[in-house]
Amino acid sequence: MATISVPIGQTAVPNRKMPSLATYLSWSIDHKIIGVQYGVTALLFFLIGGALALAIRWELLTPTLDVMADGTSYNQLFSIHGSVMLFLWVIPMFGAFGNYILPLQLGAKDMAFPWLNAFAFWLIPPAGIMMLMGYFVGQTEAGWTSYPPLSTLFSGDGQTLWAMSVHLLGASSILGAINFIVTILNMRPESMSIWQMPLFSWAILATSFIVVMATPFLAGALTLLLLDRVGGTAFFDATRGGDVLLWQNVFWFYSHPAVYIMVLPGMGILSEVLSVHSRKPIFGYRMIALSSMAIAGIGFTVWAHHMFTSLQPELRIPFMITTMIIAVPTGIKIFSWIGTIWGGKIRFTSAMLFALGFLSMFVIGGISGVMLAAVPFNYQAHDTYFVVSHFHFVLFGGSVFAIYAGLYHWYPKVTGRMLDERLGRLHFVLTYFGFFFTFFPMHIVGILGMPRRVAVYAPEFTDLNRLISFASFVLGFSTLVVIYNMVVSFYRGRVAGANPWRALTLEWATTSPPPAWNFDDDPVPFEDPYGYGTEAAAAYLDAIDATFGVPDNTGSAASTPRLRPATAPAGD
Amino acid sequence: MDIPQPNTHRSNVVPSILTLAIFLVIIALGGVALSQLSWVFLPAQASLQARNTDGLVQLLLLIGGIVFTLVHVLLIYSIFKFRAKANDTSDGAHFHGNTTLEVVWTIIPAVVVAVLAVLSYDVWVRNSQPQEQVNFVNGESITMRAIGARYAWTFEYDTNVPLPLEEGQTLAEGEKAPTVSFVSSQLHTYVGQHVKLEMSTRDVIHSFWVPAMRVKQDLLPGRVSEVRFDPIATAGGFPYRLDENGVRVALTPEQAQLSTEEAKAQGLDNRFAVYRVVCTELCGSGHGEMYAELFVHENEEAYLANFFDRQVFAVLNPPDDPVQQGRLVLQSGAYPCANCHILSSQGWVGVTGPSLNGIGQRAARRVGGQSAIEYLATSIMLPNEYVVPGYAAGQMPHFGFSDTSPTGAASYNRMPESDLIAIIAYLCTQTESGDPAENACGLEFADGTLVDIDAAKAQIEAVTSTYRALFGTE
Repeated sequence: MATISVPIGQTAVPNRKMPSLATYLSWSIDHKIIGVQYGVTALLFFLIGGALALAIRWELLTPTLDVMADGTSYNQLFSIHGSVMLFLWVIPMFGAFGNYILPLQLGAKDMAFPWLNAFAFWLIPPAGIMMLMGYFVGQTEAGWTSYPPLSTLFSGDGQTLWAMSVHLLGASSILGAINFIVTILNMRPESMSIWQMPLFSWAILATSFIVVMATPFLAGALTLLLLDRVGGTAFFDATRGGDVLLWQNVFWFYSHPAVYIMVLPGMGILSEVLSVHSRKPIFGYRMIALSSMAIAGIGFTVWAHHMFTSLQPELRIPFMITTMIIAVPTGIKIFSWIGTIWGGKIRFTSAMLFALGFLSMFVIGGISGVMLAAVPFNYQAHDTYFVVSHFHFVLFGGSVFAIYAGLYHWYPKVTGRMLDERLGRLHFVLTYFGFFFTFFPMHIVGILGMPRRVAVYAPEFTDLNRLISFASFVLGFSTLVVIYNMVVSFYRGRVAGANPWRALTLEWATTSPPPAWNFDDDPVPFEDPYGYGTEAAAAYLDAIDATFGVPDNTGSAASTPRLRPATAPAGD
Repeated sequence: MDIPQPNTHRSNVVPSILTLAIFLVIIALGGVALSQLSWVFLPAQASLQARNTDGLVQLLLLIGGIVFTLVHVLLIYSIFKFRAKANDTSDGAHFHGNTTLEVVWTIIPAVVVAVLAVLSYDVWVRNSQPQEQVNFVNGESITMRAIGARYAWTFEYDTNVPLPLEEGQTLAEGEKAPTVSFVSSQLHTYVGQHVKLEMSTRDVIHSFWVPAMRVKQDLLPGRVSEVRFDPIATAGGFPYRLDENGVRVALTPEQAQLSTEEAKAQGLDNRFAVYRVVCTELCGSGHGEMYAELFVHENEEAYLANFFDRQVFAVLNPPDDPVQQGRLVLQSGAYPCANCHILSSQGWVGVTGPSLNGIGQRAARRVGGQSAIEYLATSIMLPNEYVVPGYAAGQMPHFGFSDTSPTGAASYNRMPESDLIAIIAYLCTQTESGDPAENACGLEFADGTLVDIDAAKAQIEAVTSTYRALFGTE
């Protein structure tokens, strides 16, 4: 075993507080401020998107159109729900984790380009407002996929605002991704080779490569769409020589890789949480890291599986094959994670529950993904509720569960307070079952014959839709539980201390919240970010406790943060 | 499994042979259980394509079930076996991986998806193989087209039945006699027919889906796409037939499942089954209402009797009374009005457009300076001239006398002027009470029928003729 590396520092440092509210509302180039700005903004949009989803489910309680004024208002609901959830919740939320955690994990003082980082964030609020403004100028009714000619010749001005909004969000993503890549490749400590980098950072690296390669295609497609709408061009107008399939090809050339943009960081979070909370080294570190890269690469060759009912028939088979191949690296990750908890000492913290929930639910999304890749089955399932179910299992059962796991895991680092574990368990139970019963029955109703994006459906599907809607109300309520938990714990949560989970990655080797300069001295990473179960690791963790102290939460006044210098070894 | 583990007991992480055997049995059972889901999950199996596809679906569910159970059994086992006891602050076993295991769980899924890809390809080839003798009716192929327009399906049938030549008309050498064509909002076929639809759209992208047939194909602006399927009899049989008045009556499940000969013996001939044709590509506010009925008749004889011969007869022998003509035209489903309007006398329940109940009384009051007939004609030919408050403009398809619109684009549906006259006459008779008014639209009625058919036609034609200049004549 290698020598014990100890973060430099002698005594317990004073408890630090988060910066004032005004700091978060103003321009700042501190990656931690920007991370929180990303996170809070994304959570606000999550609530908006969630409210829209509940309105959709309310309408679908009956097979007729009765809640919404007309079909167009219903179409706006799911168009904005989808766009908000993808572009303003999942992507910025992973941006939040990336911004806050990544420099800390790499032992850096900030991102490579702090100013650019702030600029990328401040593109988001105006873009979000622009997207919601569609409600006031009318008819963003073409769905988040915005297929022409519905989105060009038949929709109102909201569609123009939608395209401009997504354009801005895409620009924000690209700037963020360039920043991540440069930071990861250049700002690691000398003693951290790329094969000693935490897997969350690996995931952000893979994601960022996808963003810089794919998002410009979205920008191109949106530019053509905007020109068709306001510039009188006819790129997508078949009556004037354009082609509607052009949009589908270019849009999905971005939007399929975008699925991985939205799930790879979640997989990175999962690797961290599963390893730390089961006190075991990650199983197959290199395979997990490389499979992220494999997914990023193969992800560029599968886009036309979204077009099995419109593409030339002879082109469908090659895309079926590539789509099935991509299941292999995903499977490697799933099995590696099971290998990670196998033989561990699992702590059932809320973060761990959500990580296990991810494994449980994401695998269903993976199975339905392979099913959808089979062209003959795809003919039955394409654009039905089966697809709605599939991508919610990936994006909610996957991404959102991972976001929740990350929230419980890193909230203590950001605020210095622990989230309430009892509320966390309640949140998990409501989310897990609410989620399953919302989305699983959609598989059935879709294959039986219910298309997606309809307000009016065949009466024989009423019972299943009622079940789905009631479960979705439970799921909606579960979100309020975590928001309440975050607010209350911010004021009254237990004091976290520097390293409440006794984790080995570098973000825990500083105070919670960290100082503006992140580390008082240059941090020394442990040789293996997941090397749990060795004496060297225990010594390293004890040294962190000795340096920063462990919180004294024994007294009744848990709300008054106190830190006592640790008397090593301070197991907790 | 050879897992290096310096710090823990081997028995803690490596399962015994017995555990492994139990585990394999459980995941196999899980796979079988999930593949049984196909019985609740799949709609009626009404085509050869459905039969092939469903076999693949069962296999996909079986493999999916095995993967699902495998992961969940491992998860649940780990959760119980490896949970930290209270006050246990120690770490877990220290090992970083196992190359053999990692190779195994890379190669096995790769082999499985390779097999799935081959099998899916095979089903795809069998399902899309072009059939000889498509759309056979009376021993010859006819042309069948599906037209998508917001928010209705229209099906065009170009038959081989010759139209009678007009007086003095002769055919040149080699010229084909003109044949009967008709349109319907319903798609009709029969067991054993190889259906091939040529599909096109008049506006946005639509997608043709018949869940019971397992076929789906988009209709793309600027292209003609094609879908093929081969209807078969289902386990549910044929649950409907037409009575002597041409009204659909439902049969009991026992009657539906009788063989053709047995049913005939009971006087239940010419039965059929009905499935839904659904639009699965978002096309606008009425997307959910865009569906049509697909009739599968039990054999060609039933198809001819229930549908084909009736349609051909109606084309060759139109009734004289425009009100009766209008009723038949709307009943035939030639125009997709039913998807968006309410008209109780026809059983329409659409909600995207305003109700047509009582339109005969309201029409004269809608737009100042327009007579009832003028208002109705304008509303059909130029639907955006006046939009009823509370409804959106731009939703109703355009109808023109010919295929060429004022701007030259073939963007709307053909409607012969005779149909327009008939529809106006019929709508004039629609009152809230159901009894035609004495003087509806200024036309003279007695006992619910027109007093002078020719005068009424002339009266309406005086209005509709103004659209000839705009649209040309048929």
